[in-house]
Amino acid sequence: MRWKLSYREASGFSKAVVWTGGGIVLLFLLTALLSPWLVPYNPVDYEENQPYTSPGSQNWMGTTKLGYDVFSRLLAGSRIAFTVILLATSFAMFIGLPLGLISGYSRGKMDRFLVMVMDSVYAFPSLLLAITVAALLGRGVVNAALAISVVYIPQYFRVIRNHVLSVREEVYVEAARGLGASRRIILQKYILFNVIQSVPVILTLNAADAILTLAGLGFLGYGVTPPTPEWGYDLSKAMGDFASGIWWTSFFPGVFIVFLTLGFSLLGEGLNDLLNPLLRGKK
Amino acid sequence: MERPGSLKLYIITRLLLVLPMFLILLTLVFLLLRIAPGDPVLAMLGPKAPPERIAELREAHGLNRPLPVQYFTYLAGIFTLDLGRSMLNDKEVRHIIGQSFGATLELTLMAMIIAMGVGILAGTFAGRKRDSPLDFITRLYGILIYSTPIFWLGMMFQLIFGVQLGWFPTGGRITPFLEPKGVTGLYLLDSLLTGNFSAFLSALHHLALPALTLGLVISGIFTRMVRANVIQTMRSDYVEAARARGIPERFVLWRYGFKNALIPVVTVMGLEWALLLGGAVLTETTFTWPGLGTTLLYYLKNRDYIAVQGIITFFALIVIFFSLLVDLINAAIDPRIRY
Repeated sequence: MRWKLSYREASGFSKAVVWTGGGIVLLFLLTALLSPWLVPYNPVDYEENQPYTSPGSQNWMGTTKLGYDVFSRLLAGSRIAFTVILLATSFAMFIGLPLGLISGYSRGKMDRFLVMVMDSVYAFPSLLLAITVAALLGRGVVNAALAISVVYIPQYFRVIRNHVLSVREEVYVEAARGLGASRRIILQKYILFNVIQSVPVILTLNAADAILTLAGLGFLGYGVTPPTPEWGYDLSKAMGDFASGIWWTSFFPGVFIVFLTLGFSLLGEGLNDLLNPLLRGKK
Repeated sequence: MERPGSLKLYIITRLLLVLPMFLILLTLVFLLLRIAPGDPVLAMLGPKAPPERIAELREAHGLNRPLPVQYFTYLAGIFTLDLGRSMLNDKEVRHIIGQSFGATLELTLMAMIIAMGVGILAGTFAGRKRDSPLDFITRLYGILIYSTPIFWLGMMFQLIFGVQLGWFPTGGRITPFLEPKGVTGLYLLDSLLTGNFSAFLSALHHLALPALTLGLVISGIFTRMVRANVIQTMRSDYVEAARARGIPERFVLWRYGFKNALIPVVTVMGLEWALLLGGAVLTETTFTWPGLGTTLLYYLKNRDYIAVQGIITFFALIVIFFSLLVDLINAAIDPRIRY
């Protein structure tokens, strides 16, 4: 109901932003799902092509030093990106959301302690945290997702907790409490359903950030296990290439990263505009 | 007894409040490295190391002692500025940090200047004329630059300005053997202090691309922040009142709107240090910049947990220091911020 209403009231700009972002994400999602059938060559087999072929009809985006087809690796890489994002944001949500819910509702000593811990983690450079955790855990899809999720737990916690703090004083929650509803029921029926509205925005914005973090981990050698196609890792392998004028091995992976991140950012920004009507400035 | 609401009281309270955060961060760093799978000594020496060598290294770094003892030794060490010795090369960790922090500080400071310059200029002009083409381009820039991986931007700069045009070097901090002697570890400052201009130029030449990369990526957030603030301030009552008095629009913008729009930017600046330090790790790797980030990666790769613990602790200290500094600056310029 509220979504529909918000959407109708939203400015044309926010609508365009949501649709553009959503379209980009959807396109990448389809690519990720269909990549096994879309790839022109095997992304982990370098013997199918000549090394350092420039972009052309044979290899649309050229080949790498070893002879991997860049285009095939990028398509397959979107699958890895989505897998890691999905895992990382779910981990973060399943820990951050309940903690924020309980912490905000109960207040008191535990709340103050949790806030302090989460604030400390939040203040720490997130990429450094992810790198350290990833280095300690070792390479792999699940490990990379875990390392990334550590960064986002405090974000879910903060947003949900603050939302709970304002919702718990609402009259209808007061009424439920007055009628003798148990803590569990209040949290589940009255509070969770309200605060869950802030999840889509955090989720998409975190997803945007997670792509960059995953690429950063891959670039530094702490992402997924090679030769699994991953954009950041492919970029790190392209580092030595451009001294000899080979640009395609580094240019195209970056474009893929920028577009998917952009898609999620736009979607998140637009959703934020739609769902928080207060931010919508009238001219 | 201090008057409630005085600046002095605020500073004292804020300093006291930093202590628990400090302790929590230190504890988290300690735990993080202890709950990691695998034994640190074994991880570094490999499974085939002779047992006496393993025992020796454990003894030397206190890793054979019970965890609570290790924890308190670690805490006590921080207050006496002793972060232990590297397991890899027996160097003192504080010396390792001292050698490379100058490079990181130089890079991040320069990047911050670039980010603020770009952010404040673009944000103010975009915010002044809302929904104009310039505003649209600025918003697009803000979101696009934020979506760009820092190392990829660095690589593209290297490709264009380093390899194709040959304007800038693609790695290193200065031409070898030109390193200035000095105390700060900031080559730009040291070379100026010693009057060594060729060193200054070389250092600036090497710094240009890495600082531009890091600065531009961070500038997106500043641009958006300044734009939003300028829009909000220009709509506020006192700006309206200034307009009503017939003060010219340009003067209203710079004298009334701009200054007040910058106060929240100071806060963001404090938060950006965390982002800047994280980004510095990637920038340093891309440009083989001999800073703290590359050093951390080196010791992480060699699984030297003592050095890693020390370096991360130091990063935590910087973050706390800057957030404290920014809060104090804010309190000094904004009398509403008090306890």
